[in-house]
Amino acid sequence: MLRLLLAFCLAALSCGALPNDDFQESLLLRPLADGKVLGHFQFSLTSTLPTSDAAVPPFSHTVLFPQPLGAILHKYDVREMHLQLAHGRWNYDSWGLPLVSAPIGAEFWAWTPGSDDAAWAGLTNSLSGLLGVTLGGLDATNTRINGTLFAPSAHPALLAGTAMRHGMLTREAFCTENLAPWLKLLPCRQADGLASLLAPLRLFDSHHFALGLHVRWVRPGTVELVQTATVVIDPRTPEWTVRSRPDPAYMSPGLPQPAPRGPGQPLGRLGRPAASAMPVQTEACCTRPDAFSLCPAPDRWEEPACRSGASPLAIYGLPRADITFRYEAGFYSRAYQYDPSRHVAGQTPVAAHRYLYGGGSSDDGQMTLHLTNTDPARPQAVVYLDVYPWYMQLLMHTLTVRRYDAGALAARSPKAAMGVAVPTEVAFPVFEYVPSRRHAQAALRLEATLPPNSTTVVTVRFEKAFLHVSEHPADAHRGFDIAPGQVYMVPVEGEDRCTRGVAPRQQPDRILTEMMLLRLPVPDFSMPYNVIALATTIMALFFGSVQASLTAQYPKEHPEETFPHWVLRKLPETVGRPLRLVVRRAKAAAGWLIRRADEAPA
Amino acid sequence: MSARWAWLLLAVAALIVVAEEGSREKNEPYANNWAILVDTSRYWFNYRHIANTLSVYRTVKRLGIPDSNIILMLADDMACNPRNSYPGCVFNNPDHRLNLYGDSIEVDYRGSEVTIENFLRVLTGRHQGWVPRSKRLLSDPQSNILLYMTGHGGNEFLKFQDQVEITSQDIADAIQVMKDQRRFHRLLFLADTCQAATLANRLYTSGVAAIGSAKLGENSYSHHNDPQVGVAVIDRFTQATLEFFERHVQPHSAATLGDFLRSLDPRILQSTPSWRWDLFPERPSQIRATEFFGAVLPVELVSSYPLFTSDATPMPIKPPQEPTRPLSAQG
Repeated sequence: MLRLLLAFCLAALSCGALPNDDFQESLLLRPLADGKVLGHFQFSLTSTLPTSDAAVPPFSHTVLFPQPLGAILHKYDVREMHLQLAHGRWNYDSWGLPLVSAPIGAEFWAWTPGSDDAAWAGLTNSLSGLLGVTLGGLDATNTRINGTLFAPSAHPALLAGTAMRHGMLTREAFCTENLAPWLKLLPCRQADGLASLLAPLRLFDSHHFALGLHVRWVRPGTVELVQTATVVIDPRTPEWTVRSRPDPAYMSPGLPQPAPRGPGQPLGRLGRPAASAMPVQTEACCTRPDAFSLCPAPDRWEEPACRSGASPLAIYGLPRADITFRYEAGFYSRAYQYDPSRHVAGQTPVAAHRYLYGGGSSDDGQMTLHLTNTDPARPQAVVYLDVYPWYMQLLMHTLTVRRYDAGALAARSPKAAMGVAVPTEVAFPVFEYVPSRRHAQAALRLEATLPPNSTTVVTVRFEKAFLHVSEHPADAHRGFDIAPGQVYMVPVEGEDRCTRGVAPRQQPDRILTEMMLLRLPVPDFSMPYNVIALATTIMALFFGSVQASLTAQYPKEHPEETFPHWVLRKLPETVGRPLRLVVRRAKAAAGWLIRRADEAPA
Repeated sequence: MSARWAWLLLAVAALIVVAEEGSREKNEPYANNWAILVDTSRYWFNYRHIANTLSVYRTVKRLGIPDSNIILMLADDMACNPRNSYPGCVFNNPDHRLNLYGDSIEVDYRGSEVTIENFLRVLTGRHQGWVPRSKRLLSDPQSNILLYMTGHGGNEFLKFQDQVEITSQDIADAIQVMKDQRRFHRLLFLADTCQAATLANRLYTSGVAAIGSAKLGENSYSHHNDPQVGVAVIDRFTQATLEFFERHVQPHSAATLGDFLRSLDPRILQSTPSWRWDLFPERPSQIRATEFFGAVLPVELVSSYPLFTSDATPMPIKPPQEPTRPLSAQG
């Protein structure tokens, strides 16, 4: 009977429609201007689900697609979602525009039908259970409909009637406990392929490390899952590979050799051939071709299909069994002796910085934003998007916008700049402000075209709201983190946009400002207990005495005595004794004075 | 007349049922293990409390409790703390041989999620609907639960997040609620804080035992400072616990909780470990350590499986051979 049942199950498995999966992985290496190296891993899985009847949920049987994630997608009807975790701020001045713009902490945005709070809470909490992130903290107080300008990339037919909700968790810790479940979503986890290069302890010892999880429905029935890992490491440290191996063959800087695998060989045990490509972008060396020597020669060179200035890509196919990729030749010896004169500040077309003035009191805060167009010739249109928690209440009548014609201005020394330059008051053509309510954040949106070589300074004062005792998070004395502002560079019409490596989708370039730490007047948290103890003591004393005076009965010493007689009898006792005491003291004092006068020498 | 007889019969039947219920509950073997490991303090200088919790986490995982049956609550991030000169690592030993954080750790509640409210919700199972399964204690009447708590405490209280306090009465009531909901078979409450024994003062639920690192009026001290990490990295009581488990307890060893209690030396701990055993039906020497710190289930092996064989020819069904050998046995 059992065997029959098993045979039936096997038959059902073999006859049932399997999803059609396509898995691609790639690693992009790019030298950065200050000598560090960017590694960008991308694992993308496209899964076409079999058309099944309504009785069977769409992700009930998958091959490569992670089933728990599929269950979440199905339950909350997610059309597109993006989750990013990062630690270490991207250094715009040294590294230029980021391949993946991820704020410190966690960032999450998703397109789901409707903006139901309960469904959103279910989605974020389910994901937090899957990935060990505290995404449940993204609630109505810190999320916003259309909180980014990132356009959806899902199929347009699926986006009808959906809303995009976005939120950042600036204080979210990001550590190996988040990487492990992320790796478990990969078809072969860490066992094979490029993911075997990801060594958790090295990644978290890097200058910048960002994980991404991007899901979208390419068309109805086909879902795409893209997992990215972006890491900035320093090749001048003795052990700089993304994977640290004790094997002496790999002690020299270089990538370890991937497991040999023929083009037709299956990927792991899952039965799908893997098409892998390892593009190496030699961007910084295009002016000095001798700075790099790639060994062995790449399979092919790919010229970038974009404007001049971008460099060609050296493409390596991973199925080659004999590839030993050495990154150090020429690179390590000459070009990467760090030379400060080569350091070019302001590599991004726009530099954005934001900071706070003011102390801990409730009414003296000021927020200042610097937007600098570093390009000497071209104006740059930007959109600035910023959200503030409800306890930071902007006073919009104090908003000023000044523009410094910054011929010699550096965005990094605004104080010196203000001494020499004469600002002009300008106004933003598009200006939008959504005031906050209690427990709902405020949003500021500015749109402007920054003239070439200029710095625009926006200042606005704000007040701080008082929070209830129970509203303070743990460690409130440290301050409250304000999520970074977002600067989107609007692409110029007609200009071809450089495809930046293997970025998953074409999105506007985003620059994130610094986070801010807002100090609120924090109460003494033991105070409520003190107040309760004091108040209850007073209540007890009051109640006790009142109750005693109302209920206690004192037997009279002289039952026939009337009240005036009682007063006449008691008065000498109550007044007389202190009087006698005073008189006695006075007498004693007088006697002492008299004796003192007698003894004094004449 | 007949009505009176009927009543009498009913009463006798009810008595039998009650007696059977009682005896079944008494003899019911436990079938699964759960662990709730709570670090209640945050800030870098409380590194040792995180390391304490992670040490116990490592022990229970080594002895077989899977991540799905462990609720791990860490009130701060030490591994990737900017002050940590070893990113991604938490050490509890001087030579840094063992990274407690490891590559495959599952932290269920972390940072500001570690609150008294969430802790009591985990114990009593009263969650909001959207809380994922991995954050819930899905135990049943056959579960043995290990509850480990560490942090800064005092006489009948324990501080959460260095801000608010949970009292021994709260813990005792929550455990009683768990009992009423039939969420555990036996529960062992282990606490490593100053005056830890006082946390068990108010317990009143049968089937619960408590072990504390120090008695009333005593502090619980840290074991050693690590000059490279820069802080104390483990407390003495947890260190002694670990030492016992690393030395004497393997998944199938017969070491009992009595052995564990005997191994605790007040001179080494610099505090008096105390325990409360009056609510627990068995004596410590009757309970194997793995009944709480591991997941070693009483599996019976039979010599051959009657239906499936290697050459796919049906074998005649044999009666199971005598005696069956319990896998977890030796006692």
